[in-house]
Amino acid sequence: MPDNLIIEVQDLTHSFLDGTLALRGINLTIKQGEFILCAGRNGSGKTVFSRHLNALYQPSSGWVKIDGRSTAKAPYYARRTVGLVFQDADSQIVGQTVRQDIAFGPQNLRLPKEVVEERVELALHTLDLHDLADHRPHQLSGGEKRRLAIASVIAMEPAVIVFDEPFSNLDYPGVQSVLRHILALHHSGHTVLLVTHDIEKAAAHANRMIIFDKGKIAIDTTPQSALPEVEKFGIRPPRILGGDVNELTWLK
Amino acid sequence: MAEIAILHYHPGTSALHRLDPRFKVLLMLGYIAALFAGNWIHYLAVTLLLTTASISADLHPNSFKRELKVFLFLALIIFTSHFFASFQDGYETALQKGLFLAWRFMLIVWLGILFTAVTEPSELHAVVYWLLRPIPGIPAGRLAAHASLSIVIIPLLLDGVHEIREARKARGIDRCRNPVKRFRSIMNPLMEKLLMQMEELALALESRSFDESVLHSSLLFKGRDAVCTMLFLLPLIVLQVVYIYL
Repeated sequence: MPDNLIIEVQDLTHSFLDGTLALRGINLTIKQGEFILCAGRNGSGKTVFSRHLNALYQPSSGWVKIDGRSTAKAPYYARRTVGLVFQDADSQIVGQTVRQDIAFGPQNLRLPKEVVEERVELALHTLDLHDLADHRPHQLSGGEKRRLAIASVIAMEPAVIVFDEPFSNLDYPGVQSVLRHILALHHSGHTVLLVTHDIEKAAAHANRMIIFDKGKIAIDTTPQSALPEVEKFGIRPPRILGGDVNELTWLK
Repeated sequence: MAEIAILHYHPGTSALHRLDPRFKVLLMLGYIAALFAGNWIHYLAVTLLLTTASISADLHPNSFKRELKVFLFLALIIFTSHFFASFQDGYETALQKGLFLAWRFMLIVWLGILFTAVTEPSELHAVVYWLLRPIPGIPAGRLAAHASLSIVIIPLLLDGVHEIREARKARGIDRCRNPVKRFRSIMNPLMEKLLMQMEELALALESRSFDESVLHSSLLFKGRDAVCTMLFLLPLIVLQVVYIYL
Protein backbone atom coordinates (compact mmCIF):
# COMPACT_ATOMS: atom_id res chain seq x y z
CA MET A 1 0.00 0.00 0.00
CA PRO A 2 1.48 3.38 -0.96
CA ASP A 3 2.12 5.53 2.12
CA ASN A 4 -0.49 8.17 1.48
CA LEU A 5 -3.44 5.88 0.72
CA ILE A 6 -5.98 6.13 3.53
CA ILE A 7 -8.95 4.31 1.96
CA GLU A 8 -8.95 1.36 -0.45
CA VAL A 9 -12.12 -0.22 -1.77
CA GLN A 10 -12.07 -3.37 -3.86
CA ASP A 11 -15.11 -4.93 -5.63
CA LEU A 12 -17.41 -3.63 -2.91
CA THR A 13 -20.96 -4.96 -3.25
CA HIS A 14 -23.76 -4.37 -0.79
CA SER A 15 -27.11 -6.08 -0.96
CA PHE A 16 -29.97 -5.53 1.49
CA LEU A 17 -31.99 -8.36 3.01
CA ASP A 18 -34.76 -7.90 0.42
CA GLY A 19 -32.22 -8.53 -2.34
CA THR A 20 -31.83 -4.88 -3.44
CA LEU A 21 -28.31 -4.27 -4.68
CA ALA A 22 -27.22 -0.91 -3.30
CA LEU A 23 -23.58 -1.10 -4.40
CA ARG A 24 -22.23 -3.12 -7.33
CA GLY A 25 -18.48 -3.70 -7.50
CA ILE A 26 -17.07 -0.38 -6.32
CA ASN A 27 -13.32 0.06 -6.77
CA LEU A 28 -11.49 3.15 -5.63
CA THR A 29 -8.65 4.49 -3.56
CA ILE A 30 -8.48 7.73 -1.60
CA LYS A 31 -5.29 9.53 -0.65
CA GLN A 32 -4.72 11.40 2.57
CA GLY A 33 -5.68 15.06 2.35
CA GLU A 34 -8.05 14.71 -0.62
CA PHE A 35 -11.31 16.69 -0.77
CA ILE A 36 -13.81 14.56 -2.65
CA LEU A 37 -17.32 15.48 -3.68
CA CYS A 38 -19.62 12.45 -3.96
CA ALA A 39 -22.82 13.11 -5.86
CA GLY A 40 -25.65 11.15 -7.45
CA ARG A 41 -29.41 10.92 -7.58
CA ASN A 42 -31.44 9.56 -4.62
CA GLY A 43 -30.85 5.83 -4.17
CA SER A 44 -27.64 5.84 -6.21
CA GLY A 45 -25.68 4.33 -3.30
CA LYS A 46 -23.83 7.38 -1.91
CA THR A 47 -25.05 7.02 1.67
CA VAL A 48 -24.60 3.23 1.74
CA PHE A 49 -21.04 3.72 0.47
CA SER A 50 -20.28 6.32 3.16
CA ARG A 51 -21.51 3.94 5.86
CA HIS A 52 -19.12 1.25 4.66
CA LEU A 53 -16.20 3.59 5.29
CA ASN A 54 -17.26 3.85 8.95
CA ALA A 55 -17.81 0.06 9.21
CA LEU A 56 -21.49 0.57 9.99
CA TYR A 57 -22.24 -1.71 7.06
CA GLN A 58 -20.17 -4.72 6.10
CA PRO A 59 -19.58 -5.73 2.47
CA SER A 60 -21.71 -8.49 0.96
CA SER A 61 -18.64 -9.14 -1.15
CA GLY A 62 -15.37 -7.32 -1.74
CA TRP A 63 -13.56 -5.35 0.93
CA VAL A 64 -12.89 -1.91 2.37
CA LYS A 65 -9.56 -1.09 3.99
CA ILE A 66 -9.00 1.95 6.14
CA ASP A 67 -5.35 2.82 6.57
CA GLY A 68 -4.50 -0.72 5.45
CA ARG A 69 -6.88 -2.49 7.87
CA SER A 70 -10.04 -4.26 6.74
CA THR A 71 -13.31 -2.81 8.11
CA ALA A 72 -14.59 -6.38 8.55
CA LYS A 73 -11.67 -7.33 10.78
CA ALA A 74 -11.09 -4.00 12.52
CA PRO A 75 -14.42 -2.09 12.66
CA TYR A 76 -13.42 -0.06 15.73
CA TYR A 77 -10.25 1.10 14.02
CA ALA A 78 -12.36 2.17 11.02
CA ARG A 79 -14.68 4.17 13.32
CA ARG A 80 -11.75 5.88 14.99
CA THR A 81 -10.17 6.75 11.66
CA VAL A 82 -13.28 7.73 9.70
CA GLY A 83 -15.78 10.07 11.32
CA LEU A 84 -19.28 10.15 9.86
CA VAL A 85 -21.51 13.21 10.14
CA PHE A 86 -25.04 11.99 9.56
CA GLN A 87 -27.56 13.70 7.30
CA ASP A 88 -30.08 14.03 10.14
CA ALA A 89 -28.15 15.82 12.88
CA ASP A 90 -30.97 15.13 15.38
CA SER A 91 -30.46 11.39 15.16
CA GLN A 92 -26.81 11.81 16.07
CA ILE A 93 -27.48 13.74 19.29
CA VAL A 94 -27.27 11.71 22.50
CA GLY A 95 -25.95 14.19 25.06
CA GLN A 96 -28.20 16.36 27.17
CA THR A 97 -25.99 19.40 26.67
CA VAL A 98 -23.76 20.43 23.78
CA ARG A 99 -20.65 19.75 25.88
CA GLN A 100 -21.84 16.27 26.90
CA ASP A 101 -22.73 15.36 23.35
CA ILE A 102 -19.25 16.26 22.14
CA ALA A 103 -17.69 14.30 25.03
CA PHE A 104 -19.72 11.16 24.23
CA GLY A 105 -17.42 9.81 21.48
CA PRO A 106 -14.07 10.40 23.24
CA GLN A 107 -15.50 8.87 26.44
CA ASN A 108 -16.46 5.76 24.49
CA LEU A 109 -12.85 5.54 23.34
CA ARG A 110 -11.99 5.27 27.07
CA LEU A 111 -9.67 8.26 26.93
CA PRO A 112 -8.51 9.81 30.23
CA LYS A 113 -10.82 12.50 31.60
CA GLU A 114 -8.31 15.30 30.98
CA VAL A 115 -7.89 14.27 27.34
CA VAL A 116 -11.67 14.16 26.86
CA GLU A 117 -12.01 17.65 28.33
CA GLU A 118 -9.18 18.93 26.15
CA ARG A 119 -10.78 17.51 23.02
CA VAL A 120 -14.21 18.89 23.94
CA GLU A 121 -12.75 22.37 24.46
CA LEU A 122 -10.92 22.19 21.14
CA ALA A 123 -14.04 21.00 19.29
CA LEU A 124 -16.17 23.75 20.92
CA HIS A 125 -13.58 26.31 19.87
CA THR A 126 -13.15 24.96 16.33
CA LEU A 127 -16.89 24.94 15.62
CA ASP A 128 -17.65 28.23 17.45
CA LEU A 129 -19.93 26.50 19.95
CA HIS A 130 -18.41 27.83 23.15
CA ASP A 131 -21.36 30.09 23.99
CA LEU A 132 -23.76 27.17 23.53
CA ALA A 133 -21.72 24.61 25.52
CA ASP A 134 -24.32 24.23 28.27
CA HIS A 135 -27.41 24.52 26.06
CA ARG A 136 -29.71 21.61 25.32
CA PRO A 137 -28.89 20.33 21.80
CA HIS A 138 -32.55 19.98 20.85
CA GLN A 139 -33.01 23.73 21.31
CA LEU A 140 -30.34 24.67 18.77
CA SER A 141 -31.05 25.94 15.26
CA GLY A 142 -30.50 23.67 12.24
CA GLY A 143 -27.08 25.16 11.48
CA GLU A 144 -25.98 24.96 15.12
CA LYS A 145 -27.06 21.31 15.31
CA ARG A 146 -25.06 20.53 12.19
CA ARG A 147 -22.02 22.24 13.73
CA LEU A 148 -22.57 20.20 16.90
CA ALA A 149 -22.69 16.98 14.85
CA ILE A 150 -19.37 17.96 13.24
CA ALA A 151 -17.85 18.92 16.61
CA SER A 152 -18.93 15.55 18.07
CA VAL A 153 -17.13 13.76 15.25
CA ILE A 154 -13.92 15.83 15.27
CA ALA A 155 -13.58 15.30 19.03
CA MET A 156 -12.81 11.68 18.15
CA GLU A 157 -9.94 13.01 16.02
CA PRO A 158 -10.55 10.99 12.87
CA ALA A 159 -8.18 11.34 9.91
CA VAL A 160 -11.09 11.21 7.45
CA ILE A 161 -14.44 12.97 7.83
CA VAL A 162 -17.44 11.96 5.74
CA PHE A 163 -20.24 14.52 5.58
CA ASP A 164 -23.57 13.08 4.45
CA GLU A 165 -25.66 15.90 2.94
CA PRO A 166 -24.30 18.53 5.36
CA PHE A 167 -26.22 21.40 3.72
CA SER A 168 -29.72 19.91 3.75
CA ASN A 169 -32.35 22.07 5.50
CA LEU A 170 -29.90 24.91 6.11
CA ASP A 171 -30.42 28.53 5.18
CA TYR A 172 -27.78 30.59 3.32
CA PRO A 173 -25.80 31.70 6.42
CA GLY A 174 -26.08 28.14 7.80
CA VAL A 175 -24.60 26.66 4.60
CA GLN A 176 -21.80 29.25 4.61
CA SER A 177 -20.96 28.58 8.24
CA VAL A 178 -20.87 24.78 7.82
CA LEU A 179 -18.88 25.05 4.57
CA ARG A 180 -16.30 27.34 6.22
CA HIS A 181 -15.82 24.79 8.99
CA ILE A 182 -15.50 21.91 6.52
CA LEU A 183 -12.82 23.84 4.63
CA ALA A 184 -10.99 24.66 7.85
CA LEU A 185 -10.95 20.95 8.74
CA HIS A 186 -9.59 20.11 5.29
CA HIS A 187 -6.90 22.78 5.61
CA SER A 188 -5.91 21.36 8.98
CA GLY A 189 -5.07 18.06 7.27
CA HIS A 190 -8.28 16.02 7.32
CA THR A 191 -9.33 14.00 4.32
CA VAL A 192 -12.87 15.13 3.44
CA LEU A 193 -15.65 13.27 1.63
CA LEU A 194 -18.64 15.47 0.98
CA VAL A 195 -21.75 13.54 -0.03
CA THR A 196 -24.20 16.02 -1.51
CA HIS A 197 -26.62 16.89 -4.30
CA ASP A 198 -25.67 20.54 -4.00
CA ILE A 199 -22.51 20.59 -6.07
CA GLU A 200 -22.95 24.33 -6.65
CA LYS A 201 -22.27 24.98 -2.99
CA ALA A 202 -18.85 23.36 -2.71
CA ALA A 203 -17.47 21.99 -6.01
CA ALA A 204 -14.88 24.79 -6.16
CA HIS A 205 -13.13 23.38 -3.10
CA ALA A 206 -12.97 19.72 -4.15
CA ASN A 207 -10.03 18.21 -6.00
CA ARG A 208 -12.03 15.17 -7.08
CA MET A 209 -15.64 14.38 -7.93
CA ILE A 210 -17.23 10.93 -7.82
CA ILE A 211 -20.67 10.41 -9.34
CA PHE A 212 -22.65 7.38 -8.22
CA ASP A 213 -25.31 5.88 -10.43
CA LYS A 214 -27.32 2.71 -9.73
CA GLY A 215 -24.79 1.51 -7.18
CA LYS A 216 -21.76 2.00 -9.42
CA ILE A 217 -19.19 4.73 -9.87
CA ALA A 218 -20.16 6.43 -13.11
CA ILE A 219 -17.58 9.21 -13.05
CA ASP A 220 -14.41 9.66 -11.01
CA THR A 221 -12.47 12.70 -12.14
CA THR A 222 -11.86 16.38 -11.39
CA PRO A 223 -14.94 18.59 -10.80
CA GLN A 224 -14.09 20.59 -13.93
CA SER A 225 -14.18 17.47 -16.12
CA ALA A 226 -17.23 15.97 -14.40
CA LEU A 227 -19.55 19.01 -14.58
CA PRO A 228 -20.65 18.69 -18.23
CA GLU A 229 -21.82 15.11 -17.52
CA VAL A 230 -23.70 15.54 -14.24
CA GLU A 231 -27.20 16.11 -15.65
CA LYS A 232 -27.20 12.59 -17.13
CA PHE A 233 -26.97 11.26 -13.59
CA GLY A 234 -29.86 13.21 -12.06
CA ILE A 235 -27.81 16.11 -10.71
CA ARG A 236 -28.80 19.69 -11.44
CA PRO A 237 -26.05 21.19 -13.59
CA PRO A 238 -24.60 24.39 -12.16
CA ARG A 239 -25.63 27.63 -13.81
CA ILE A 240 -22.05 28.45 -14.73
CA LEU A 241 -21.78 25.33 -16.88
CA GLY A 242 -18.82 25.80 -19.18
CA GLY A 243 -17.46 28.53 -16.95
CA ASP A 244 -14.96 28.52 -14.13
CA VAL A 245 -15.45 25.74 -11.57
CA ASN A 246 -13.89 28.03 -8.97
CA GLU A 247 -17.15 29.97 -8.98
CA LEU A 248 -19.01 26.95 -7.58
CA THR A 249 -19.04 27.92 -3.94
CA TRP A 250 -21.45 29.65 -1.60
CA LEU A 251 -18.59 31.48 0.05
CA LYS A 252 -18.45 34.11 -2.69
CA MET B 1 -37.75 20.16 18.23
CA ALA B 2 -37.38 22.95 20.71
CA GLU B 3 -41.01 23.30 21.70
CA ILE B 4 -41.54 20.31 23.98
CA ALA B 5 -40.10 21.09 27.41
CA ILE B 6 -41.39 18.21 29.52
CA LEU B 7 -39.37 15.10 30.53
CA HIS B 8 -36.12 16.66 29.34
CA TYR B 9 -32.98 17.29 31.34
CA HIS B 10 -32.83 20.99 32.26
CA PRO B 11 -29.19 21.94 32.78
CA GLY B 12 -28.66 23.74 36.07
CA THR B 13 -26.51 24.11 39.15
CA SER B 14 -29.12 23.75 41.91
CA ALA B 15 -28.56 21.49 44.92
CA LEU B 16 -30.89 18.92 43.34
CA HIS B 17 -28.95 18.99 40.07
CA ARG B 18 -25.72 18.38 41.97
CA LEU B 19 -27.17 15.69 44.23
CA ASP B 20 -25.64 12.22 43.84
CA PRO B 21 -28.07 10.35 41.52
CA ARG B 22 -28.19 7.42 43.98
CA PHE B 23 -29.83 9.77 46.48
CA LYS B 24 -32.19 11.10 43.83
CA VAL B 25 -33.38 7.53 43.20
CA LEU B 26 -33.66 6.98 46.96
CA LEU B 27 -35.74 10.14 47.32
CA MET B 28 -37.98 9.14 44.47
CA LEU B 29 -38.56 5.67 45.89
CA GLY B 30 -39.25 7.20 49.32
CA TYR B 31 -41.86 9.56 47.91
CA ILE B 32 -43.54 6.80 45.88
CA ALA B 33 -43.64 4.57 48.98
CA ALA B 34 -45.22 7.43 50.97
CA LEU B 35 -47.85 7.92 48.25
CA PHE B 36 -48.81 4.25 48.22
CA ALA B 37 -48.62 3.68 51.98
CA GLY B 38 -50.03 6.95 53.29
CA ASN B 39 -53.17 9.06 53.31
CA TRP B 40 -54.07 12.62 52.26
CA ILE B 41 -51.63 14.11 54.80
CA HIS B 42 -48.80 12.27 53.03
CA TYR B 43 -50.11 13.53 49.70
CA LEU B 44 -50.12 17.07 51.06
CA ALA B 45 -46.61 16.67 52.45
CA VAL B 46 -45.31 15.27 49.13
CA THR B 47 -47.02 18.14 47.27
CA LEU B 48 -45.34 20.72 49.52
CA LEU B 49 -41.95 18.99 49.27
CA LEU B 50 -42.20 18.70 45.48
CA THR B 51 -43.14 22.38 45.27
CA THR B 52 -40.08 23.29 47.33
CA ALA B 53 -37.85 20.96 45.27
CA SER B 54 -39.19 22.34 41.96
CA ILE B 55 -38.63 25.94 43.08
CA SER B 56 -35.12 25.13 44.26
CA ALA B 57 -34.39 23.40 40.91
CA ASP B 58 -35.73 26.44 39.06
CA LEU B 59 -38.39 24.36 37.33
CA HIS B 60 -41.45 26.43 36.44
CA PRO B 61 -44.72 24.67 35.56
CA ASN B 62 -45.44 27.50 33.09
CA SER B 63 -42.73 26.19 30.78
CA PHE B 64 -44.57 22.94 30.18
CA LYS B 65 -48.20 23.71 31.04
CA ARG B 66 -49.36 22.74 27.53
CA GLU B 67 -47.85 19.23 27.80
CA LEU B 68 -49.31 18.86 31.29
CA LYS B 69 -52.81 18.97 29.79
CA VAL B 70 -52.34 15.39 28.55
CA PHE B 71 -51.58 14.20 32.07
CA LEU B 72 -54.46 16.25 33.49
CA PHE B 73 -56.74 14.54 30.99
CA LEU B 74 -55.46 11.13 32.14
CA ALA B 75 -55.99 12.22 35.77
CA LEU B 76 -59.57 13.13 34.87
CA ILE B 77 -60.09 9.66 33.39
CA ILE B 78 -58.67 8.09 36.58
CA PHE B 79 -60.95 10.27 38.70
CA THR B 80 -64.06 9.51 36.65
CA SER B 81 -63.50 5.75 36.47
CA HIS B 82 -62.83 5.44 40.23
CA PHE B 83 -65.69 7.77 41.10
CA PHE B 84 -68.21 5.61 39.23
CA ALA B 85 -66.59 2.33 40.32
CA SER B 86 -66.95 3.33 44.01
CA PHE B 87 -70.32 5.03 43.72
CA GLN B 88 -72.15 2.21 45.57
CA ASP B 89 -70.06 3.12 48.68
CA GLY B 90 -71.66 6.53 48.76
CA TYR B 91 -71.13 9.84 46.97
CA GLU B 92 -68.55 11.23 49.43
CA THR B 93 -66.42 8.06 49.49
CA ALA B 94 -66.47 7.83 45.68
CA LEU B 95 -65.51 11.51 45.34
CA GLN B 96 -62.73 11.14 47.88
CA LYS B 97 -61.34 7.97 46.27
CA GLY B 98 -61.43 9.46 42.77
CA LEU B 99 -59.75 12.67 43.92
CA PHE B 100 -57.01 10.89 45.88
CA LEU B 101 -56.11 8.55 43.02
CA ALA B 102 -56.03 11.38 40.48
CA TRP B 103 -53.93 13.46 42.94
CA ARG B 104 -51.52 10.54 43.44
CA PHE B 105 -51.20 10.07 39.69
CA MET B 106 -50.34 13.75 39.20
CA LEU B 107 -47.78 13.60 42.01
CA ILE B 108 -46.07 10.59 40.39
CA VAL B 109 -46.03 12.46 37.05
CA TRP B 110 -44.56 15.48 38.84
CA LEU B 111 -41.88 13.27 40.42
CA GLY B 112 -40.98 11.90 36.98
CA ILE B 113 -40.78 15.38 35.48
CA LEU B 114 -38.62 16.66 38.33
CA PHE B 115 -36.34 13.60 38.26
CA THR B 116 -35.71 13.84 34.50
CA ALA B 117 -35.25 17.62 34.76
CA VAL B 118 -32.43 17.37 37.29
CA THR B 119 -30.84 14.02 36.31
CA GLU B 120 -28.68 13.57 33.26
CA PRO B 121 -29.24 10.26 31.42
CA SER B 122 -25.53 9.54 31.92
CA GLU B 123 -26.11 9.76 35.70
CA LEU B 124 -29.05 7.39 35.40
CA HIS B 125 -26.80 5.04 33.43
CA ALA B 126 -24.21 5.19 36.21
CA VAL B 127 -26.71 4.59 39.02
CA VAL B 128 -28.51 1.66 37.30
CA TYR B 129 -25.09 0.13 36.56
CA TRP B 130 -24.08 0.64 40.21
CA LEU B 131 -27.29 -1.01 41.43
CA LEU B 132 -27.20 -4.00 39.08
CA ARG B 133 -23.48 -4.74 38.85
CA PRO B 134 -23.29 -6.79 42.08
CA ILE B 135 -26.10 -9.09 40.90
CA PRO B 136 -24.59 -12.07 39.07
CA GLY B 137 -25.99 -13.00 35.67
CA ILE B 138 -27.53 -9.57 35.05
CA PRO B 139 -26.12 -7.63 32.07
CA ALA B 140 -25.75 -4.45 34.12
CA GLY B 141 -24.07 -2.41 31.35
CA ARG B 142 -26.75 -3.22 28.79
CA LEU B 143 -29.70 -2.56 31.15
CA ALA B 144 -28.12 0.70 32.32
CA ALA B 145 -27.63 1.77 28.70
CA HIS B 146 -31.29 0.92 27.98
CA ALA B 147 -32.47 2.98 30.95
CA SER B 148 -30.47 6.06 29.95
CA LEU B 149 -31.33 5.74 26.25
CA SER B 150 -35.04 5.56 27.16
CA ILE B 151 -34.67 9.05 28.61
CA VAL B 152 -32.98 10.21 25.39
CA ILE B 153 -35.88 8.79 23.38
CA ILE B 154 -38.67 10.54 25.34
CA PRO B 155 -38.08 13.97 23.75
CA LEU B 156 -37.96 12.36 20.29
CA LEU B 157 -41.27 10.62 21.03
CA LEU B 158 -42.97 13.79 22.30
CA ASP B 159 -41.56 15.86 19.45
CA GLY B 160 -42.88 13.24 17.03
CA VAL B 161 -46.39 13.43 18.51
CA HIS B 162 -46.27 17.24 18.32
CA GLU B 163 -45.09 17.20 14.69
CA ILE B 164 -47.74 14.70 13.57
CA ARG B 165 -50.50 16.64 15.36
CA GLU B 166 -49.39 19.88 13.70
CA ALA B 167 -49.26 18.17 10.30
CA ARG B 168 -52.80 16.82 10.83
CA LYS B 169 -54.01 20.27 11.82
CA ALA B 170 -52.40 21.79 8.72
CA ARG B 171 -54.27 19.29 6.55
CA GLY B 172 -57.54 19.93 8.39
CA ILE B 173 -57.91 16.33 9.60
CA ASP B 174 -57.81 16.93 13.33
CA ARG B 175 -61.56 17.26 13.87
CA CYS B 176 -62.22 13.62 14.70
CA ARG B 177 -63.85 13.56 18.15
CA ASN B 178 -63.40 9.83 18.72
CA PRO B 179 -60.35 9.57 21.03
CA VAL B 180 -59.60 5.97 19.99
CA LYS B 181 -59.53 6.92 16.30
CA ARG B 182 -57.44 10.01 17.10
CA PHE B 183 -55.01 7.89 19.10
CA ARG B 184 -54.69 5.30 16.32
CA SER B 185 -54.23 7.91 13.62
CA ILE B 186 -51.32 9.43 15.57
CA MET B 187 -49.77 6.16 16.77
CA ASN B 188 -49.33 4.55 13.35
CA PRO B 189 -47.17 7.29 11.80
CA LEU B 190 -45.50 7.91 15.17
CA MET B 191 -44.31 4.32 15.52
CA GLU B 192 -43.10 4.28 11.94
CA LYS B 193 -41.17 7.53 12.45
CA LEU B 194 -39.82 6.41 15.81
CA LEU B 195 -38.56 3.08 14.47
CA MET B 196 -36.69 4.87 11.69
CA GLN B 197 -35.23 7.34 14.19
CA MET B 198 -34.16 4.49 16.47
CA GLU B 199 -32.41 2.78 13.60
CA GLU B 200 -30.55 6.02 12.82
CA LEU B 201 -29.77 6.53 16.52
CA ALA B 202 -28.38 2.98 16.77
CA LEU B 203 -26.13 3.61 13.75
CA ALA B 204 -25.07 6.99 15.15
CA LEU B 205 -24.15 5.34 18.48
CA GLU B 206 -22.20 2.65 16.70
CA SER B 207 -20.36 5.17 14.55
CA ARG B 208 -19.25 6.95 17.73
CA SER B 209 -17.85 3.69 19.12
CA PHE B 210 -20.63 3.33 21.71
CA ASP B 211 -19.61 1.02 24.54
CA GLU B 212 -22.37 0.17 27.02
CA SER B 213 -19.93 -0.50 29.82
CA VAL B 214 -18.39 2.98 29.63
CA LEU B 215 -19.80 5.26 32.33
CA HIS B 216 -20.22 8.86 31.21
CA SER B 217 -20.75 10.11 34.80
CA SER B 218 -18.94 9.17 37.95
CA LEU B 219 -20.71 8.64 41.28
CA LEU B 220 -19.08 10.56 44.09
CA PHE B 221 -20.59 10.59 47.56
CA LYS B 222 -20.41 13.90 49.39
CA GLY B 223 -21.64 14.76 52.88
CA ARG B 224 -24.02 17.40 51.54
CA ASP B 225 -25.83 14.67 49.53
CA ALA B 226 -26.89 12.94 52.74
CA VAL B 227 -27.95 16.28 54.31
CA CYS B 228 -29.99 17.29 51.27
CA THR B 229 -31.64 13.86 51.08
CA MET B 230 -32.53 13.92 54.77
CA LEU B 231 -34.02 17.41 54.42
CA PHE B 232 -36.37 16.17 51.73
CA LEU B 233 -37.07 12.78 53.31
CA LEU B 234 -37.25 13.60 57.02
CA PRO B 235 -40.72 15.24 56.98
CA LEU B 236 -42.15 12.09 55.40
CA ILE B 237 -40.40 9.79 57.89
CA VAL B 238 -41.69 11.86 60.83
CA LEU B 239 -45.16 11.85 59.34
CA GLN B 240 -45.06 8.08 58.89
CA VAL B 241 -43.95 7.55 62.50
CA VAL B 242 -46.71 9.84 63.77
CA TYR B 243 -49.22 8.07 61.50
CA ILE B 244 -48.24 4.63 62.85
CA TYR B 245 -48.15 5.49 66.57
CA LEU B 246 -51.03 7.95 66.93
